[in-house]
Amino acid sequence: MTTERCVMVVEDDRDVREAIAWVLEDAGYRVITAENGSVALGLLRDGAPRPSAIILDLMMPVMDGWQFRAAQASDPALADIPVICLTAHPNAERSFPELRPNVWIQKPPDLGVLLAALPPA
Amino acid sequence: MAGDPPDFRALFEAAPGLFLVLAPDLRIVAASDAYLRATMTVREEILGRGIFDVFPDNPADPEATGVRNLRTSLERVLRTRGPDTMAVQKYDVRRPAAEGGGFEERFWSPINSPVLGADGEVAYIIHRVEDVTDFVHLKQREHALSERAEGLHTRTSELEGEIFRRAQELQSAHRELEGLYDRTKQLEELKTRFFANVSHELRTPLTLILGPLREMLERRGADRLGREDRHRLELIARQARLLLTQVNDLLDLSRLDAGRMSLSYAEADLAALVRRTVDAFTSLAEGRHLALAVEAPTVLPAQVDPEKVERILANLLSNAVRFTPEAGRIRCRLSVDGDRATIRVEDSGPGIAPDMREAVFERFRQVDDGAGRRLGGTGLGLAIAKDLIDLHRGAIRVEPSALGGAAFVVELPLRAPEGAAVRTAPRIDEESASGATVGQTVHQLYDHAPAGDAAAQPAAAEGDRSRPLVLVVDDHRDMRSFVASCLAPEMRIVAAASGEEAIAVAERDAPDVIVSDEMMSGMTGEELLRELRRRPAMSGLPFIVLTAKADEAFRVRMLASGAQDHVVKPFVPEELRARVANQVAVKRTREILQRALATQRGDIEDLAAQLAERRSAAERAVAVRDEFLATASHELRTPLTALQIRLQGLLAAVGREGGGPRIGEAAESAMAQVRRLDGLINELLDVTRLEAGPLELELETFDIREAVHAAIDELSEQAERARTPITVAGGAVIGRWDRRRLTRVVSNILGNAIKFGPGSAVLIALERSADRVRLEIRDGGRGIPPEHLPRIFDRFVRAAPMREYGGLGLGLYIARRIVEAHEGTIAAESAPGRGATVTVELPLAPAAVRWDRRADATTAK
Repeated sequence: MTTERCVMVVEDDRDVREAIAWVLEDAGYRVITAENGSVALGLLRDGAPRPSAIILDLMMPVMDGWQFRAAQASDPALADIPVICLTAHPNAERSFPELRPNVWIQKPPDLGVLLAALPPA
Repeated sequence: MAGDPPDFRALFEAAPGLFLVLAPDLRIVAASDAYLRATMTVREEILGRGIFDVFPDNPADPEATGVRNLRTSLERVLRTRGPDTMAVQKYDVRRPAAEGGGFEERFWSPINSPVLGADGEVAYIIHRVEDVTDFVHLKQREHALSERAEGLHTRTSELEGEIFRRAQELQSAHRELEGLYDRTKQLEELKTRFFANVSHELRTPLTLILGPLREMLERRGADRLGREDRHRLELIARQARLLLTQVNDLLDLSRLDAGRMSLSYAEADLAALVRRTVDAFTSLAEGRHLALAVEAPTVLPAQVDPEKVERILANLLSNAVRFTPEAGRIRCRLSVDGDRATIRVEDSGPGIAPDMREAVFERFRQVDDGAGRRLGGTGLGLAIAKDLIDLHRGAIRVEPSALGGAAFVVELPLRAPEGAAVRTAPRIDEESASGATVGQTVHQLYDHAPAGDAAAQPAAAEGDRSRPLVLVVDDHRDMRSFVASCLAPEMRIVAAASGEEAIAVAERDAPDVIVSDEMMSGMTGEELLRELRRRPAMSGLPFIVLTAKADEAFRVRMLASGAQDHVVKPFVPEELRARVANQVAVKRTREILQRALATQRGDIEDLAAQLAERRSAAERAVAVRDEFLATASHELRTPLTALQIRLQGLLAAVGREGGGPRIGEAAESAMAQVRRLDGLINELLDVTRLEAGPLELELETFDIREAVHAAIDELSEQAERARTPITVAGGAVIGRWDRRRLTRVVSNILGNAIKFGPGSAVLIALERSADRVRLEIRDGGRGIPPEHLPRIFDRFVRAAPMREYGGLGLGLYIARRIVEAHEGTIAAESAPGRGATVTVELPLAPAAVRWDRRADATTAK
């Protein structure tokens, strides 16, 4: 499977991270995980395969989702990677319009919805 | 004659001031002669009548607000039992018919002061008025005489208008502030209620997830589970347990808040207890490749509440485990120092920045490293640990650890306080009582807190003079610098270590506000306040007292003797800042008004700035609410996320590869519970939001049947289990509503119908009239008892006994709120045993948006 699609999961809660990685791998994706925005940026700039989408948590230590989006937007090499914001915030879409992800998904997400938001494996 | 008391009535009536005395129901019970003269009234005609009856607004002046302002002020006095000074008012006094009738214009500066009865309640209100009409008229005449009479006169009336306008603004700002306080209080209550509800209700489904899981993992033959399956089930169990911990945290918090948590002292071996608790974390630590060491004496007898101490330790240890990176070290050490035990829990994690070492013990306070970044975790664990330690009259602090991370140091007295019941072999030692009050405990806490960084030290009263000057009075150095650090840099700080020093400093520096501790050696806060009030120059200086929760009576006394506000320790810095800022705003506004009156020259920008400041205080209250909702939501939903994803993945895997019907079944049932938990969390968040502000609708144009079918889909499993067929009758009805919320309305009503009428059919009928739609949901269930019918749309009411069904009893309440936000109505009818019918009527679009319907119709295909 040399052409398999790669998805990056940025999420500080290890269990959530692993659960998502587990289902995505089951669905045929290659998954890269990062526990915060800063680790994710490091991986992206350090030769990790370019993901076809990033699943991004917002409230994270060290570098949160907002800071990650800002860093991503200012880096031409990364700016156009689609981002799915996965958040527990009750009203994120209206509260943080500045984040402008490609898709908003509320925690806990339905697996079908999550998979549908990704480019096909 | 010498022994007879003077005739107080005659003295009062002859007093040279304008006095009116009101009963608490605002009837006039006495008036001075001067008052009668000024108002052109006769005593016999006004006594016993309501003040607003006697002095109505001039009906010819639609702008008149005097009565409303006076009413607001009087109500404030009744509520606060404190005096209330009103802004200068323009009153139109009714002229007796004999003198030509009509109204005469008067400018009054009224003060309303309560007279408290022996029971502490308001017995009378003295309404004292200073008549400044002559002053104002004199000014007018002077100007009329001058050469530029015309222009000046205009200017004067402009300025007067300006002054009155601003006086009104001040009043409305007052009202705004009052609303703000009320809402803050409501929020507090809501939070406590929310915790209690969330905790009780979430525990049931969690138990239902954990029970079957444990059975599957532990029953005989469990070893036949595939390794992969076992791993997955264990993960699910771990997440559910985590959620249970959070829920327990919330429950504890609500108990602590309600003051219902008490200690149950027992003779215990603290050393064994510590070892046992640390042991419980061994496997968790091993899993993360953490070295976990415990050092404790062989035996250490102590009188503590063993369960609570275990809880404290567990919270600290789980914190350490959570924040220490893999392959790190954690050490727990128990030692004795005199009559206290010290427990140190330290780790090699990232540690805690010096300026966060106090904040980590605040609840819902995410650790923030100053760059707006968050360290995650609930923060509840530490807040609870601290509360439990406080109950033990112990102390907790955090400091850097030799291991490189944070060291949490807990000190607990080895003996229960004198008089406390101690289980098994009580041995009362008379010297053991510490007698510490809550206030002292708080002090102790700050004692152990590290002194703040340079910015936290009280600065000299220099710098930008536009910043308010706050005098901080506390005999405790660290407390002083803590308060100062809360208020800097927005405010300039001067400090005093005693009441005597405070008076000297106040006379020298003329501060805008005084923030004083109540318990000080030497002059107490109360004595300081009395001393200040005695000096005319400082009689109105805002005084905020820092009090301990325990001393409610004292607090009330302080407020009664003229303190403007109080802040309960331990407090959140924002709260103190907001309260001080409010007092500064009030004081400065008053000064501006006084200056404007004296010189007829106003500084409008300044006032505008003050008002803007108050508005931002209101916005902050909303922000507090939103942050609370976001945090609660985050904490509860994160474990649900892992749980749901795992379960759905598991179900998909079982579908693909097979894994035994039992696993599929267990996962299905666990999924249903997860959905129920998510629903409950949504419900509670919705209610919290509903009650803390207006509901904002997200309107779109759609066929109401879409919402109906979405709700039916949501409940399809439930309906299937209850063998309840659902029929929908009626054609398309297009309107403009909030789709998500309307779906909630239908699913809440429908959910009820299914719950209370299993096995009988439910009919949903839609009917459109000219500009409304009628939605009827009819079931054949047990019906609603007539005595419950009028209340079923209230909060926390349900038509069946609490334990019989899940849910919070909030469903119909939420439905009502949503329907009302759509300007619709909701009603129920029922005959016992013959089912119930709930009818919702909605306008096709709320009036507020009807104007844009045409534009919308063209865009919506």
